[in-house]
Amino acid sequence: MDRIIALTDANSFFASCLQAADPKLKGRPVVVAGDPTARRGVILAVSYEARRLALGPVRAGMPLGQARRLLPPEVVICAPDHQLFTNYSDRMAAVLERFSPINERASIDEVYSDWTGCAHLFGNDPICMARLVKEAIRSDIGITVSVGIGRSKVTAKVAAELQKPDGLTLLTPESWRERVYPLPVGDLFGVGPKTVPKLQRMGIYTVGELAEAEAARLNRIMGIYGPHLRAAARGEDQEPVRQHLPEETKSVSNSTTLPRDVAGRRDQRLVLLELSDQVGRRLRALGFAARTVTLQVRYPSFETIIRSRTLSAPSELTDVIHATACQLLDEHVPAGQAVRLLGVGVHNLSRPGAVAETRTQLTLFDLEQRAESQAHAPKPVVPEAKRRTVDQVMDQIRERFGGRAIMRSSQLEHPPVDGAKHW
Amino acid sequence: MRFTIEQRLLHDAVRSAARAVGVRQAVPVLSGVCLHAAGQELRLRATDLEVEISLAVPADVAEEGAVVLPARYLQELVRRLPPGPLAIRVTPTNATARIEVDGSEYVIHGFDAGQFPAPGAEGAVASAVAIEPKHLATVLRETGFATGHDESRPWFTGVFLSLRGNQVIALATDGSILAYSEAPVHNPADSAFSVILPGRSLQETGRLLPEAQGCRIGAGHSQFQFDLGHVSLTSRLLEGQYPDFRKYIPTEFPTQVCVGRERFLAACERAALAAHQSSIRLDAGAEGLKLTARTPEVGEVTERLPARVGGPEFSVPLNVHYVLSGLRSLEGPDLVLEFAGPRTAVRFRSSQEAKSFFAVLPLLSF
Repeated sequence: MDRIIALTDANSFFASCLQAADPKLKGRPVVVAGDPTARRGVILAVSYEARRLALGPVRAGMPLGQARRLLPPEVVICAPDHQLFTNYSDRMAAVLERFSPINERASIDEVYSDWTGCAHLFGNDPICMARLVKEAIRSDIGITVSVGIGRSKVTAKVAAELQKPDGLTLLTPESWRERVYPLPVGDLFGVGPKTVPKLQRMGIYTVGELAEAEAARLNRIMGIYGPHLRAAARGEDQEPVRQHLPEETKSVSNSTTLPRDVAGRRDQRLVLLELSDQVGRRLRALGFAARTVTLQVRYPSFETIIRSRTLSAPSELTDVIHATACQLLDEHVPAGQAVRLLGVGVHNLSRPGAVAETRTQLTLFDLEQRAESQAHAPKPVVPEAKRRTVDQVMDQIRERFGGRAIMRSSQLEHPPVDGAKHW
Repeated sequence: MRFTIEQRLLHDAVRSAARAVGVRQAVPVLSGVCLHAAGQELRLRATDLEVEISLAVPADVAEEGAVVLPARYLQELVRRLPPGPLAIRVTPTNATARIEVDGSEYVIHGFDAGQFPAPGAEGAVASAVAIEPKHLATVLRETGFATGHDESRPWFTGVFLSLRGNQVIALATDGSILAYSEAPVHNPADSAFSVILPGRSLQETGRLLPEAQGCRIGAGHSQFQFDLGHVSLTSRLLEGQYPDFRKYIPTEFPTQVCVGRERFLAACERAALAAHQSSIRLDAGAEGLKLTARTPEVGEVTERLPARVGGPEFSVPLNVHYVLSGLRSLEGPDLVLEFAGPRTAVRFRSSQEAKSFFAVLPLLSF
């Protein structure tokens, strides 16, 4: 079955948003310009009312001074309000979410939707569905959109361009051939000013000629881009509508530029404890454990080094993060070397208890090292479970009484930075 | 140099000797088999400087001499010649051999025998001890698979072989799987040795063993020899002290699981299909043994096997390919799996009494 792909494109979006938000601007010629007070401002959007009244074509990107000469004196020049635009963009996307779950926000004012699986919910008629979408956006947020429908993203995009403002175009394979084949090849989305002359040298001037070009010859001249171009010209590109999923946290880090350079190892360790404490707390709040600990050091010369170590098992414990950061410090920063900035980070995050996707093979050397460390370091260590409880209790107390309500005694005894007197 | 030899005999001899020829030989003469006709036999030798295979076959020698002929070409040609006596004549001046059969003539260009390395000093091998070929074959099979490829730790690429009293033990590991085997020997002189042999020497020995009538093994200062009667294999030793990794394998295993070996092997093979990064999980409990494997985009396998489980239940992730390679090295209907803890090796034996075992270290899961 052919896909049903729709592109919803808001018409002169910035201007429409301002008009929707401010009833006084409704129906008036509006121009949104980078900085209306500066003569160098550039046109960002022109409302359709303004376009109709202009003496010549006024387009986004034109310097305001130049546009002024073409625009009628009653034109309202507005400064952009990006927060407002983002808000309207989100609302438009939210309306589209009500119709189909698969939506890709291609830009602030364009959203691709895959209606293949849900068209039957709206009478199996994409035109009817598009009318509902347009009406919903108009009534809910007060802006008009053009909707293009086709069987691929390229056809949807071309369809949306065919009629605006307030357009609605469906391109079937037949109407694609009829309406798009005669268009200049440069009108095809994805065929830019660099490609047009190349194609023209091959005798390809229209979309239709590109669609019917001999594949081998096209590939010879255009390389790997050839098959893609030909498919686009035929309206057959397979590009999926890509949903943007909320991004998972990949790392947590904290760093601090010290009020003065610190050279003492003991003080550097205290700073790392402070940072590890903060990182550990955030990590635990997110419900992650980390397998890799990173130390960042900036020297007074501004030279910066980043060193990391992967643990044998993920941990969310402040102590473990701090101990690893200190190990890295001892290994990579010479004693007595002053530092300007210290940072602690963790990545390689996983949910504790989640099914492991990566496993490492235990080797005899691990056993050997363990045997050695048991033989040479009989120092009793606080069991991990107890340290975990300490962290959890501290987190709860801080949650309730604030970040400095409880801390490790070592954090108290020496304010880290003031102690830096040795240098 | 002139001699006559049965096609069949020559072919089998060349094939046996050619096992020692390296795949990619930097020194051209080493791609050949050295033929030495003297008395009433033809002696063949080939070596890659790590392994040397030497054997003698009866021949009708009319004129003594020696030559090195390219192993591959010689073997392929002789294989295709008709059965019956082959008359071979070598012109020493240009090291060219001519074989005449039924009026047809074949010419092989070889190398001067003087270029070929001298035979491994057989006398250097001290008092050899006798071992049953089938016992040696078992030892090699049960340990050879466990060697590794990490050249930075040479002992990983070899098998540790040690003779004490009337017993020889073998140990091999790549760091994550360890295999142990032992066999009785006849050692009236109470010789002793502890050597590390390259995995390849043992592999080639294993291939020659089925035809052996008897076997004597002995270690020299830098060489080791397998004397199989009709053929002998001399191997270089790997240097270094073999770490006794046995100390990392527990001696007490609280949980023991008895299961059918073939059935367990088949289950592992199926689980391997769905094992993500070769990881399978073994669960042993009151219901028997369970094997699970899962790859999100491929599928899942859950195998339930009847098993006798003694001791506390356990669950451990293992690399299935280690388990499979070990299982294939064992024989017999049964398999005993033993478990001592989450971060120690799981031991596999063919029975409660078996001395040989292989042990696989678990995967660490998070």
